[in-house]
Amino acid sequence: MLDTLIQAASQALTLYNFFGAALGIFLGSLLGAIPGLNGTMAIALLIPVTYTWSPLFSIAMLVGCWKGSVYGGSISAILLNAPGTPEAAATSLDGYPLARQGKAGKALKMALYASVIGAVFSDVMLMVAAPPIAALALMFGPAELAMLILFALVVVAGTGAHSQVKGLISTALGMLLATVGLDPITTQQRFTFGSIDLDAGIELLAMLIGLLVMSEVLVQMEEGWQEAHSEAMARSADPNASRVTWRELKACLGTIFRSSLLGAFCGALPGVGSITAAFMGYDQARRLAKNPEDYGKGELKGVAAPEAANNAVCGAALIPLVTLGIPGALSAAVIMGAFMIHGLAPGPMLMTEHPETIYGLFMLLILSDFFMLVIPLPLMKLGQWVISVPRAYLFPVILVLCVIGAYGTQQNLFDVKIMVFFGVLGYFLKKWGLSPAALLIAFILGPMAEVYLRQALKISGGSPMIFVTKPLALGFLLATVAMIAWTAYRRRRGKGAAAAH
Amino acid sequence: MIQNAKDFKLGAGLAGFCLLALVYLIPSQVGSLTDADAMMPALITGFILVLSLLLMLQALRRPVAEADQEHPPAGQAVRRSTKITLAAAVAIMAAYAWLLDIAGFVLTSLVAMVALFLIFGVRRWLTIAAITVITLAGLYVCFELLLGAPLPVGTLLERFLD
Amino acid sequence: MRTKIWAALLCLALVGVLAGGALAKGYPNKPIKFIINFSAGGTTDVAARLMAAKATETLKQALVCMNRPGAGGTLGVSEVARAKPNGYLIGTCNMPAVAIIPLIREVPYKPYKDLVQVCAVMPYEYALMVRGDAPWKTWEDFAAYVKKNPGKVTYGSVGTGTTNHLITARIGKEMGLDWKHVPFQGGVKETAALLGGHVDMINNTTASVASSIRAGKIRVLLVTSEDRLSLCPEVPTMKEKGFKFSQISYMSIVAPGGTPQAVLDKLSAAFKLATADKGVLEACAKLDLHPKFMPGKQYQALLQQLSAEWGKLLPELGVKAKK
Repeated sequence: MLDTLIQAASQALTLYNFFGAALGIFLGSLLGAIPGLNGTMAIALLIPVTYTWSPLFSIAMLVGCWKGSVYGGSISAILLNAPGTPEAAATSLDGYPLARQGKAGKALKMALYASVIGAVFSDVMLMVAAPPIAALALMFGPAELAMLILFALVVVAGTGAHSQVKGLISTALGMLLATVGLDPITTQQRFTFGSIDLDAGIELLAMLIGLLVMSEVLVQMEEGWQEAHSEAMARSADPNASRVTWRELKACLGTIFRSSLLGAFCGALPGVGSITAAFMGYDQARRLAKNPEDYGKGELKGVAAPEAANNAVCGAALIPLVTLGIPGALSAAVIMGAFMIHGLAPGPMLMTEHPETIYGLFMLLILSDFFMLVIPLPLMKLGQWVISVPRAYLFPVILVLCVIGAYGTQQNLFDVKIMVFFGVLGYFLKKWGLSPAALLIAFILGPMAEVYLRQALKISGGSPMIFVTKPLALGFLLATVAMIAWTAYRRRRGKGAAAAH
Repeated sequence: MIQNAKDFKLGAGLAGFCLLALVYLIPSQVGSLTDADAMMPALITGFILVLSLLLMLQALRRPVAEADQEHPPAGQAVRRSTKITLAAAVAIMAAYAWLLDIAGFVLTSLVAMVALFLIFGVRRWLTIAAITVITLAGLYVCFELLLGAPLPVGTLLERFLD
Repeated sequence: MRTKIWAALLCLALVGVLAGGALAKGYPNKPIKFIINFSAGGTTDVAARLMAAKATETLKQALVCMNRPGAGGTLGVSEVARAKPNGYLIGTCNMPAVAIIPLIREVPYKPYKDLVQVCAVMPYEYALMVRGDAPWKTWEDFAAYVKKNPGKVTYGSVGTGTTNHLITARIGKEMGLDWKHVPFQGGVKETAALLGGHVDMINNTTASVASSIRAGKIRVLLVTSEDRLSLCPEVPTMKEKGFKFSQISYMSIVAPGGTPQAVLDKLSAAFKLATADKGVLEACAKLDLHPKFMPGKQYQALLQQLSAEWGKLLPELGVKAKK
């Protein structure tokens, strides 16, 4: 064991690999911070380039790139309300109001600390508890996943909307949009209007860029963009507004820890992903808070929670990858290609056949978490400078970046049209008080719910009893019912309290 | 009377869309409502229909919520010139998306970006030229040279090259 | 106004530079776009890129790889189908995108008219597998169990209408097995469901689960490809067990229909060299992939034969055919 560790250390801890990890974090947080571009695109584009590099260097760089971009997205989410990455959509809900109050620095730092804590937490999980977590993840079959997703849908339904009905409408619209494409079970075409490009469904990233970034440009244009920049930058004279005090961090630690746990759990389950994790993290904080009404208006915990959760996905998503050969998230699936091209077939034999490479990778992962604490700092300053530039100069650049970002991931021109369509739709959603964030998370969770429900029913031969006889499924079903009851109870009590005043 | 005209219109519009979907879109694009593939779309559409009716009902009784007033509602204080700028921006983006296919990335982006600067009221030509060239050259170098991922050349240029 | 003039000048300069290079004679005289119809990082992508790198050396022009995944591979293939037949845009292709999916749903290309098979380069290797701790040691054990427990056993595939689904369904039909098909979206979720014990058996490519097979977490019961596999040489093939068919699907190279024969020959020769290259073979072997060349004409004939066969079988297997 010790021999392996020493060998791993000598292989991994070279200046060359440090550079790889640092480069990944830098590229990721830079691309993540630029609205329109994002880490998933960067990873997809970088993969072929890394085929010729050494395995540890390229894997450390790709994972760093992923981690960096998940954090980097929060910079533009907080400063511009235009999340650079989909994972940061939940962060902007409270981050942008904080920035408008002149507390951009505070929100940015809190996002960074929460991200790093979440990332370290999940990397430690990967190192010490990979086999049991992988075993736990495998216990989730279609029936269990169906109930889990149902639970998640109930938890996040309506996030960021002005009223409950509008929140639910946004959620349902997201689910409806997700049915475009091939039916997941019969592979018949649904709402494709004879276009093969729609057969593959609406490309998530293209839609997101339109919905979250382009629409925000339009909204801010309308809200008098000549003045907008000065308002967002109204810096408070209080030095505390641009840093996180120890007391504030301590107050958030509970939330951060719960979010990290949730994030790691979402990461380890194949196909649940970091966007779900971010929203689950945000909503657990909101629902467990004593002051849920402050969320969406600039609550610091509302920044810490999603950032801890989405960064906790990265390390955990490698758990099923290295133990079972099953990637836990979309980016992990692409990173699996980097393992394979270097002759490291992911799966149970990886640990026994190449222990020194895997331990070396673990070391680099932890190291890159610390890089993450330092490398984005200048980027934060740069971001704060960029938004002081008049919006008239900024917006054309952002719009061109949106086009490139939509095109880049799949290199498909059709996605650019999708992006523009959703940019306009997102503008109207915001005008009508509907929530693009709720639509987005439903777009991701909705089809999962459908697929898993129908798969479970296929397994059971059509009997819904499968959701009751499997203990884990039953547990989540009961949790869902409890959640609905609790929400109703809290609303009633909230109304009662309001009436008493 | 109607307390919240905006929400009422939204509800009515959504309800109309749902009816259209149930009567025409789903049968023609998915399959008959009883098919397994059509179950989910039909259920969701029905759900939205119920919700939009609820929204209309609420709009009849409840005045505009406080939270809604933070964003300036349509029609209020939005100057006509702003609306025109907005429409122009959308038109440029739409043209951008459709012309990429034909004229390629470099040419289309160049024109679109300059046009966007102009409608946003920027008239400092040197600044426009500098930002445009730096952005596009940066993207071109990253994609074509560093990543080896080709940007669209455009059918027009391709024909010219053959 | 001045900016516009500058813009025009810039474009002219660009056109000039690009056009100058392309006017030279002889194929290929400019980079070839190579569309990979699966996503970056998958086995098809890895194999395709390895071969493309080798073909680049042979052709002395770069094969620029682009991933166009989606819709069971048809998205990438349709892009090739609508390209100009000059050999400067080719792509990879999987068997169902040509021989099966066009039977099930509308696709914007005619598989044998808009596309021409340059050559087949790698057979995918398939098998029926169960969990390592399952009670069934052989295919006969398993089949007997299914017979004894009608309607109880479930099998997973990577999706409806894939070869994984259709071959398994056909086996069930021939033997009169009463079992349930559960389509998953891709091999990853299918494998996870098997390892978690949520389905009893899966049909999957062996390369993607090679590590689990070696570790004994997954047991191969029956090889559904033509020949035995080096990964599990002791497991018999379905042909040996008396079935008259097997699961044949190659990764092939396609070009737009109407591409000149001389161009096709040049491409085919380049890929033939790539599939025999020691470096490519070694890199592939690490991932349990085994490239093998088959001439385009021969593969096209095979595809047409498969198309006809599946056309008759689909309704019997309960797959909804094209409206």
